[in-house]
Amino acid sequence: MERRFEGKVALVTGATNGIGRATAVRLAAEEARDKVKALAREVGEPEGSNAPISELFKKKYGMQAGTIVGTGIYKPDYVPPDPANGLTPNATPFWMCAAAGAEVEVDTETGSVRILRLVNVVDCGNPVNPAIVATQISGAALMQLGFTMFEKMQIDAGQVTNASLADYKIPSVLDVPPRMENEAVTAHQSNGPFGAKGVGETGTFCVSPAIANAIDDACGVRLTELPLSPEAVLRALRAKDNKELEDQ
Amino acid sequence: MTTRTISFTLNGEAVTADIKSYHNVVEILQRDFNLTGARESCGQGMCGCCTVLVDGTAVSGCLYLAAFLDGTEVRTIESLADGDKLSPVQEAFIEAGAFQCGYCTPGFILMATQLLDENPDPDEDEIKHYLSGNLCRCAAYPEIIKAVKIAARKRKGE
Repeated sequence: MERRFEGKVALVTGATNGIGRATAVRLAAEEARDKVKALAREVGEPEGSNAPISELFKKKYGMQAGTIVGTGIYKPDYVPPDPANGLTPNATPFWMCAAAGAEVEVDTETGSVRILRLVNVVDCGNPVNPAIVATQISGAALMQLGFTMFEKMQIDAGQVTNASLADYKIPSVLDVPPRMENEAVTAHQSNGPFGAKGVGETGTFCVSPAIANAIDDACGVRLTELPLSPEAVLRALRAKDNKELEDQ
Repeated sequence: MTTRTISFTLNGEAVTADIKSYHNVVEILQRDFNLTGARESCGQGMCGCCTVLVDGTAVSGCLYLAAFLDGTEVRTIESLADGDKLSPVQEAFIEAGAFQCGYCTPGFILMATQLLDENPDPDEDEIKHYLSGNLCRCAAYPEIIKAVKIAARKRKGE
Protein backbone atom coordinates (compact mmCIF):
# COMPACT_ATOMS: atom_id res chain seq x y z
CA MET A 1 0.00 0.00 0.00
CA GLU A 2 1.39 3.36 -0.98
CA ARG A 3 -0.34 5.56 1.56
CA ARG A 4 0.89 5.40 5.11
CA PHE A 5 0.19 7.96 7.77
CA GLU A 6 2.23 6.73 10.69
CA GLY A 7 2.17 9.12 13.62
CA LYS A 8 -0.51 11.32 12.10
CA VAL A 9 -3.96 11.98 13.45
CA ALA A 10 -6.77 10.08 11.75
CA LEU A 11 -9.46 12.21 10.21
CA VAL A 12 -12.59 10.18 9.93
CA THR A 13 -14.49 11.14 6.82
CA GLY A 14 -16.33 9.56 3.93
CA ALA A 15 -16.41 5.76 3.54
CA THR A 16 -15.12 5.29 7.08
CA ASN A 17 -16.73 1.94 7.70
CA GLY A 18 -15.66 0.36 4.50
CA ILE A 19 -12.42 1.17 2.84
CA GLY A 20 -11.13 3.50 5.58
CA ARG A 21 -11.54 1.17 8.50
CA ALA A 22 -10.48 -1.86 6.49
CA THR A 23 -7.28 -0.12 5.47
CA ALA A 24 -6.58 0.93 9.06
CA VAL A 25 -7.24 -2.64 10.24
CA ARG A 26 -4.84 -3.96 7.64
CA LEU A 27 -2.11 -1.56 8.79
CA ALA A 28 -2.78 -2.50 12.44
CA ALA A 29 -2.59 -6.19 11.60
CA GLU A 30 0.68 -5.66 9.78
CA GLU A 31 2.15 -3.88 12.78
CA ALA A 32 0.95 -6.62 15.14
CA ARG A 33 2.50 -9.23 12.87
CA ASP A 34 5.82 -7.36 12.89
CA LYS A 35 5.74 -7.20 16.68
CA VAL A 36 5.09 -10.95 16.91
CA LYS A 37 8.02 -11.55 14.55
CA ALA A 38 10.26 -9.30 16.68
CA LEU A 39 9.20 -11.17 19.81
CA ALA A 40 10.00 -14.49 18.10
CA ARG A 41 13.48 -13.23 17.20
CA GLU A 42 14.00 -11.94 20.74
CA VAL A 43 13.26 -15.33 22.33
CA GLY A 44 15.54 -17.10 19.86
CA GLU A 45 13.05 -18.64 17.44
CA PRO A 46 14.54 -19.34 14.00
CA GLU A 47 13.54 -16.96 11.18
CA GLY A 48 10.19 -17.95 9.63
CA SER A 49 9.13 -20.02 12.65
CA ASN A 50 5.39 -20.03 13.14
CA ALA A 51 5.43 -20.82 16.87
CA PRO A 52 2.12 -20.06 18.61
CA ILE A 53 2.02 -16.68 20.35
CA SER A 54 1.35 -18.43 23.67
CA GLU A 55 4.72 -20.23 23.31
CA LEU A 56 6.50 -16.96 22.60
CA PHE A 57 4.93 -15.38 25.70
CA LYS A 58 5.97 -18.37 27.79
CA LYS A 59 9.57 -18.00 26.65
CA LYS A 60 9.60 -14.27 27.21
CA TYR A 61 7.66 -13.95 30.45
CA GLY A 62 7.67 -17.47 31.91
CA MET A 63 3.90 -17.73 31.48
CA GLN A 64 1.59 -17.74 28.49
CA ALA A 65 0.23 -14.27 29.01
CA GLY A 66 1.00 -10.97 27.38
CA THR A 67 -0.33 -8.40 24.96
CA ILE A 68 0.56 -7.56 21.39
CA VAL A 69 -0.94 -4.30 20.20
CA GLY A 70 -0.94 -3.27 16.57
CA THR A 71 -2.17 0.18 15.60
CA GLY A 72 -3.05 1.50 12.18
CA ILE A 73 -4.10 4.92 11.02
CA TYR A 74 -5.59 5.68 7.65
CA LYS A 75 -6.60 9.08 6.42
CA PRO A 76 -8.55 8.99 3.16
CA ASP A 77 -7.18 11.52 0.69
CA TYR A 78 -10.57 13.18 0.52
CA VAL A 79 -10.66 16.96 0.05
CA PRO A 80 -13.72 18.72 1.49
CA PRO A 81 -15.66 20.77 -1.06
CA ASP A 82 -14.70 24.42 -1.38
CA PRO A 83 -17.47 26.33 0.48
CA ALA A 84 -17.40 29.02 -2.22
CA ASN A 85 -18.29 26.79 -5.14
CA GLY A 86 -18.82 23.24 -3.81
CA LEU A 87 -15.97 21.88 -5.89
CA THR A 88 -13.37 19.36 -4.75
CA PRO A 89 -10.62 17.62 -6.69
CA ASN A 90 -11.26 14.42 -4.70
CA ALA A 91 -14.79 13.84 -3.42
CA THR A 92 -14.36 10.30 -2.13
CA PRO A 93 -11.72 7.56 -1.75
CA PHE A 94 -13.61 5.50 -4.31
CA TRP A 95 -16.64 5.53 -6.58
CA MET A 96 -19.22 2.80 -6.74
CA CYS A 97 -20.46 1.34 -10.02
CA ALA A 98 -23.27 -1.09 -10.63
CA ALA A 99 -25.67 -2.33 -13.29
CA ALA A 100 -28.99 -4.12 -13.05
CA GLY A 101 -31.61 -5.68 -15.26
CA ALA A 102 -35.16 -6.78 -14.52
CA GLU A 103 -37.88 -8.80 -16.19
CA VAL A 104 -41.40 -7.95 -15.07
CA GLU A 105 -44.98 -8.90 -15.70
CA VAL A 106 -47.57 -6.12 -15.47
CA ASP A 107 -51.24 -6.78 -14.82
CA THR A 108 -52.81 -3.95 -16.80
CA GLU A 109 -56.19 -4.47 -15.06
CA THR A 110 -54.82 -3.82 -11.58
CA GLY A 111 -51.43 -2.20 -12.15
CA SER A 112 -49.68 -4.81 -10.07
CA VAL A 113 -46.17 -5.74 -11.13
CA ARG A 114 -44.48 -9.10 -10.64
CA ILE A 115 -40.70 -9.23 -10.87
CA LEU A 116 -39.72 -12.45 -12.58
CA ARG A 117 -36.00 -11.95 -12.76
CA LEU A 118 -33.55 -9.52 -11.22
CA VAL A 119 -29.91 -9.36 -12.25
CA ASN A 120 -27.54 -7.18 -10.26
CA VAL A 121 -23.86 -6.71 -11.07
CA VAL A 122 -21.50 -4.54 -9.02
CA ASP A 123 -17.93 -3.36 -9.03
CA CYS A 124 -16.66 -3.83 -5.47
CA GLY A 125 -12.99 -4.13 -6.34
CA ASN A 126 -11.55 -7.49 -5.39
CA PRO A 127 -14.23 -9.41 -3.41
CA VAL A 128 -12.16 -10.54 -0.42
CA ASN A 129 -14.92 -12.87 0.81
CA PRO A 130 -16.97 -13.82 -2.27
CA ALA A 131 -19.75 -15.54 -0.30
CA ILE A 132 -20.36 -12.48 1.90
CA VAL A 133 -20.14 -10.21 -1.14
CA ALA A 134 -22.84 -12.25 -2.90
CA THR A 135 -25.07 -11.98 0.19
CA GLN A 136 -24.44 -8.22 0.33
CA ILE A 137 -25.42 -7.74 -3.31
CA SER A 138 -28.52 -9.89 -2.96
CA GLY A 139 -29.59 -8.28 0.33
CA ALA A 140 -29.04 -4.78 -1.04
CA ALA A 141 -31.04 -5.61 -4.17
CA LEU A 142 -33.97 -6.98 -2.15
CA MET A 143 -33.98 -4.04 0.24
CA GLN A 144 -34.03 -1.69 -2.75
CA LEU A 145 -36.80 -3.82 -4.23
CA GLY A 146 -38.87 -2.87 -1.18
CA PHE A 147 -38.12 0.85 -1.65
CA THR A 148 -38.94 0.46 -5.33
CA MET A 149 -42.20 -1.41 -5.11
CA PHE A 150 -43.99 -0.51 -1.90
CA GLU A 151 -42.08 1.19 0.92
CA LYS A 152 -43.13 4.78 1.48
CA MET A 153 -43.09 6.86 4.62
CA GLN A 154 -46.44 8.62 4.95
CA ILE A 155 -45.94 12.00 6.55
CA ASP A 156 -48.78 14.15 7.82
CA ALA A 157 -47.97 17.55 9.31
CA GLY A 158 -44.42 16.43 10.02
CA GLN A 159 -45.50 13.18 11.69
CA VAL A 160 -44.78 9.78 10.20
CA THR A 161 -48.17 8.09 10.27
CA ASN A 162 -47.15 4.59 9.19
CA ALA A 163 -44.20 3.98 11.51
CA SER A 164 -44.89 0.31 12.23
CA LEU A 165 -44.41 -2.94 10.41
CA ALA A 166 -48.18 -3.33 10.27
CA ASP A 167 -48.52 -0.20 8.12
CA TYR A 168 -45.09 -0.02 6.49
CA LYS A 169 -44.40 -3.27 4.72
CA ILE A 170 -40.86 -4.39 4.04
CA PRO A 171 -39.95 -7.30 1.72
CA SER A 172 -40.60 -10.76 3.06
CA VAL A 173 -39.39 -14.08 1.74
CA LEU A 174 -42.41 -14.09 -0.60
CA ASP A 175 -41.11 -10.98 -2.40
CA VAL A 176 -37.90 -12.67 -3.57
CA PRO A 177 -38.03 -12.81 -7.39
CA PRO A 178 -38.11 -16.38 -8.74
CA ARG A 179 -34.80 -15.71 -10.48
CA MET A 180 -32.08 -13.59 -8.95
CA GLU A 181 -28.52 -13.29 -10.18
CA ASN A 182 -25.89 -11.43 -8.17
CA GLU A 183 -22.42 -10.91 -9.46
CA ALA A 184 -19.26 -8.91 -8.83
CA VAL A 185 -17.19 -8.00 -11.86
CA THR A 186 -13.47 -8.70 -11.85
CA ALA A 187 -11.87 -5.52 -10.58
CA HIS A 188 -9.07 -4.17 -8.43
CA GLN A 189 -9.26 -1.00 -6.34
CA SER A 190 -5.72 0.36 -6.27
CA ASN A 191 -6.11 2.27 -2.98
CA GLY A 192 -8.16 -0.42 -1.19
CA PRO A 193 -7.00 -3.17 1.16
CA PHE A 194 -6.24 -6.26 -0.99
CA GLY A 195 -7.78 -4.39 -3.93
CA ALA A 196 -11.20 -4.26 -2.26
CA LYS A 197 -13.69 -1.44 -1.77
CA GLY A 198 -17.14 -1.11 -0.27
CA VAL A 199 -20.06 -3.16 -1.59
CA GLY A 200 -23.11 -2.54 0.63
CA GLU A 201 -24.69 0.43 -1.13
CA THR A 202 -23.51 -0.52 -4.57
CA GLY A 203 -26.07 -3.30 -4.88
CA THR A 204 -28.92 -0.82 -4.42
CA PHE A 205 -28.10 1.67 -7.17
CA CYS A 206 -29.67 0.30 -10.29
CA VAL A 207 -32.57 -1.77 -9.00
CA SER A 208 -35.22 0.97 -9.12
CA PRO A 209 -34.36 2.25 -12.62
CA ALA A 210 -34.07 -1.31 -13.95
CA ILE A 211 -37.56 -2.19 -12.71
CA ALA A 212 -39.03 1.13 -13.90
CA ASN A 213 -37.43 0.61 -17.31
CA ALA A 214 -38.83 -2.91 -17.49
CA ILE A 215 -42.33 -1.60 -16.69
CA ASP A 216 -41.95 1.00 -19.45
CA ASP A 217 -40.78 -1.70 -21.84
CA ALA A 218 -43.68 -3.98 -20.86
CA CYS A 219 -46.59 -1.54 -21.06
CA GLY A 220 -45.31 1.83 -22.20
CA VAL A 221 -45.61 3.89 -19.04
CA ARG A 222 -42.68 5.83 -17.68
CA LEU A 223 -42.82 6.22 -13.90
CA THR A 224 -40.38 8.65 -12.35
CA GLU A 225 -41.46 8.49 -8.72
CA LEU A 226 -41.19 5.71 -6.18
CA PRO A 227 -42.75 3.47 -5.10
CA LEU A 228 -43.94 1.80 -8.30
CA SER A 229 -47.16 0.80 -6.56
CA PRO A 230 -50.08 -0.83 -8.38
CA GLU A 231 -51.97 2.45 -8.01
CA ALA A 232 -49.17 4.45 -9.63
CA VAL A 233 -48.89 1.97 -12.50
CA LEU A 234 -52.65 1.83 -13.03
CA ARG A 235 -52.98 5.63 -12.97
CA ALA A 236 -50.20 5.92 -15.55
CA LEU A 237 -51.79 3.25 -17.75
CA ARG A 238 -55.16 4.99 -17.62
CA ALA A 239 -53.56 8.38 -18.31
CA LYS A 240 -51.83 6.90 -21.33
CA ASP A 241 -55.20 5.79 -22.70
CA ASN A 242 -56.73 9.22 -21.93
CA LYS A 243 -58.99 7.60 -19.34
CA GLU A 244 -57.49 9.18 -16.27
CA LEU A 245 -58.72 7.98 -12.90
CA GLU A 246 -60.48 10.61 -10.91
CA ASP A 247 -58.41 11.77 -8.01
CA GLN A 248 -58.62 10.04 -4.71
CA MET B 1 -50.55 -3.91 40.44
CA THR B 2 -50.24 -7.29 42.08
CA THR B 3 -47.37 -9.60 41.37
CA ARG B 4 -47.99 -13.29 40.86
CA THR B 5 -45.65 -16.23 40.68
CA ILE B 6 -45.81 -18.53 37.69
CA SER B 7 -44.11 -21.91 37.24
CA PHE B 8 -43.09 -23.39 33.93
CA THR B 9 -40.44 -25.50 32.27
CA LEU B 10 -37.77 -23.44 30.54
CA ASN B 11 -35.46 -25.29 28.17
CA GLY B 12 -35.98 -28.47 30.19
CA GLU B 13 -35.61 -26.92 33.64
CA ALA B 14 -38.40 -26.21 36.14
CA VAL B 15 -38.45 -22.48 36.92
CA THR B 16 -40.60 -19.84 38.55
CA ALA B 17 -40.94 -16.13 37.85
CA ASP B 18 -42.59 -13.24 39.64
CA ILE B 19 -44.55 -11.31 37.05
CA LYS B 20 -47.02 -8.51 36.61
CA SER B 21 -50.01 -9.10 34.39
CA TYR B 22 -48.65 -6.76 31.70
CA HIS B 23 -45.28 -8.49 31.29
CA ASN B 24 -44.69 -10.23 28.00
CA VAL B 25 -42.60 -13.33 27.43
CA VAL B 26 -39.57 -11.51 26.02
CA GLU B 27 -39.35 -9.21 29.04
CA ILE B 28 -39.38 -12.13 31.49
CA LEU B 29 -36.89 -14.21 29.51
CA GLN B 30 -34.46 -11.30 29.44
CA ARG B 31 -35.04 -9.93 32.92
CA ASP B 32 -35.22 -13.14 34.95
CA PHE B 33 -33.32 -15.67 32.89
CA ASN B 34 -30.83 -13.59 30.93
CA LEU B 35 -32.01 -15.23 27.69
CA THR B 36 -31.60 -12.65 24.94
CA GLY B 37 -32.08 -14.83 21.85
CA ALA B 38 -35.76 -13.86 21.58
CA ARG B 39 -35.70 -10.13 21.05
CA GLU B 40 -38.45 -7.62 20.51
CA SER B 41 -38.31 -5.79 17.21
CA CYS B 42 -41.70 -4.57 15.96
CA GLY B 43 -43.63 -5.30 19.16
CA GLN B 44 -46.67 -6.14 17.05
CA GLY B 45 -46.19 -9.78 16.19
CA MET B 46 -45.32 -8.86 12.60
CA CYS B 47 -41.63 -9.75 12.36
CA GLY B 48 -40.93 -13.00 14.23
CA CYS B 49 -37.74 -11.82 15.96
CA CYS B 50 -39.23 -12.71 19.37
CA THR B 51 -40.26 -16.27 18.46
CA VAL B 52 -40.31 -18.82 21.29
CA LEU B 53 -41.92 -22.25 21.44
CA VAL B 54 -44.67 -22.70 24.02
CA ASP B 55 -45.80 -26.32 24.33
CA GLY B 56 -44.16 -26.94 20.97
CA THR B 57 -45.88 -24.12 19.10
CA ALA B 58 -44.13 -20.95 17.93
CA VAL B 59 -45.54 -17.77 19.46
CA SER B 60 -44.57 -14.12 19.27
CA GLY B 61 -42.90 -13.43 22.61
CA CYS B 62 -43.64 -9.71 22.32
CA LEU B 63 -47.42 -10.25 22.31
CA TYR B 64 -47.70 -13.43 24.35
CA LEU B 65 -48.27 -12.52 27.98
CA ALA B 66 -45.93 -14.07 30.51
CA ALA B 67 -48.99 -15.04 32.60
CA PHE B 68 -49.91 -17.57 29.91
CA LEU B 69 -46.63 -19.42 30.48
CA ASP B 70 -47.87 -20.81 33.81
CA GLY B 71 -47.76 -24.62 33.58
CA THR B 72 -46.33 -24.71 30.05
CA GLU B 73 -43.15 -26.01 28.51
CA VAL B 74 -41.09 -23.20 26.95
CA ARG B 75 -38.19 -23.63 24.57
CA THR B 76 -36.01 -20.80 23.29
CA ILE B 77 -33.24 -20.61 20.72
CA GLU B 78 -30.76 -21.19 23.56
CA SER B 79 -31.98 -24.79 23.90
CA LEU B 80 -31.17 -25.91 20.36
CA ALA B 81 -27.45 -26.45 20.75
CA ASP B 82 -26.18 -29.38 22.81
CA GLY B 83 -23.26 -27.72 24.59
CA ASP B 84 -20.94 -26.58 21.82
CA LYS B 85 -22.64 -28.83 19.26
CA LEU B 86 -25.00 -26.74 17.18
CA SER B 87 -28.28 -28.14 15.87
CA PRO B 88 -28.44 -29.09 12.16
CA VAL B 89 -30.51 -25.98 11.41
CA GLN B 90 -28.02 -23.72 13.21
CA GLU B 91 -25.12 -25.34 11.33
CA ALA B 92 -26.97 -24.94 8.04
CA PHE B 93 -27.57 -21.21 8.64
CA ILE B 94 -23.83 -20.73 9.15
CA GLU B 95 -22.95 -22.84 6.10
CA ALA B 96 -25.37 -20.94 3.87
CA GLY B 97 -24.41 -17.52 5.31
CA ALA B 98 -28.10 -17.01 6.01
CA PHE B 99 -27.78 -13.68 7.83
CA GLN B 100 -26.00 -10.37 7.83
CA CYS B 101 -26.69 -8.57 11.12
CA GLY B 102 -28.20 -11.64 12.81
CA TYR B 103 -31.00 -9.89 14.67
CA CYS B 104 -33.78 -11.97 13.10
CA THR B 105 -31.78 -15.22 13.02
CA PRO B 106 -33.05 -16.87 16.24
CA GLY B 107 -36.64 -16.45 15.06
CA PHE B 108 -35.88 -17.86 11.62
CA ILE B 109 -33.99 -20.81 13.11
CA LEU B 110 -36.83 -21.69 15.49
CA MET B 111 -39.41 -21.45 12.68
CA ALA B 112 -37.23 -23.49 10.34
CA THR B 113 -36.80 -26.10 13.08
CA GLN B 114 -40.55 -26.29 13.60
CA LEU B 115 -41.10 -26.52 9.83
CA LEU B 116 -38.70 -29.46 9.53
CA ASP B 117 -40.31 -31.16 12.56
CA GLU B 118 -43.65 -30.98 10.75
CA ASN B 119 -42.40 -31.53 7.22
CA PRO B 120 -38.92 -33.05 6.94
CA ASP B 121 -38.72 -32.50 3.18
CA PRO B 122 -40.34 -29.15 2.31
CA ASP B 123 -40.21 -27.74 -1.21
CA GLU B 124 -39.29 -24.13 -1.87
CA ASP B 125 -42.87 -22.85 -1.84
CA GLU B 126 -43.54 -24.59 1.47
CA ILE B 127 -40.39 -23.06 2.95
CA LYS B 128 -41.35 -19.57 1.75
CA HIS B 129 -44.90 -19.88 3.00
CA TYR B 130 -43.82 -21.15 6.40
CA LEU B 131 -41.22 -18.42 6.91
CA SER B 132 -43.31 -15.56 5.51
CA GLY B 133 -44.11 -14.31 9.03
CA ASN B 134 -40.45 -13.67 9.78
CA LEU B 135 -38.84 -10.52 8.44
CA CYS B 136 -35.16 -9.96 7.68
CA ARG B 137 -34.24 -6.34 6.91
CA CYS B 138 -30.88 -7.47 5.52
CA ALA B 139 -33.02 -9.60 3.16
CA ALA B 140 -30.88 -12.72 3.43
CA TYR B 141 -33.93 -14.63 2.21
CA PRO B 142 -32.30 -16.58 -0.65
CA GLU B 143 -29.60 -17.76 1.75
CA ILE B 144 -32.22 -18.62 4.40
CA ILE B 145 -34.11 -20.79 1.89
CA LYS B 146 -30.84 -22.48 1.00
CA ALA B 147 -30.10 -23.03 4.71
CA VAL B 148 -33.45 -24.76 5.28
CA LYS B 149 -32.75 -27.09 2.36
CA ILE B 150 -29.28 -27.88 3.75
CA ALA B 151 -30.78 -28.45 7.21
CA ALA B 152 -33.37 -30.84 5.79
CA ARG B 153 -30.58 -32.94 4.27
CA LYS B 154 -28.54 -32.82 7.47
CA ARG B 155 -31.47 -33.99 9.56
CA LYS B 156 -31.97 -36.93 7.22
CA GLY B 157 -28.33 -37.82 7.84
CA GLU B 158 -27.24 -37.04 4.29
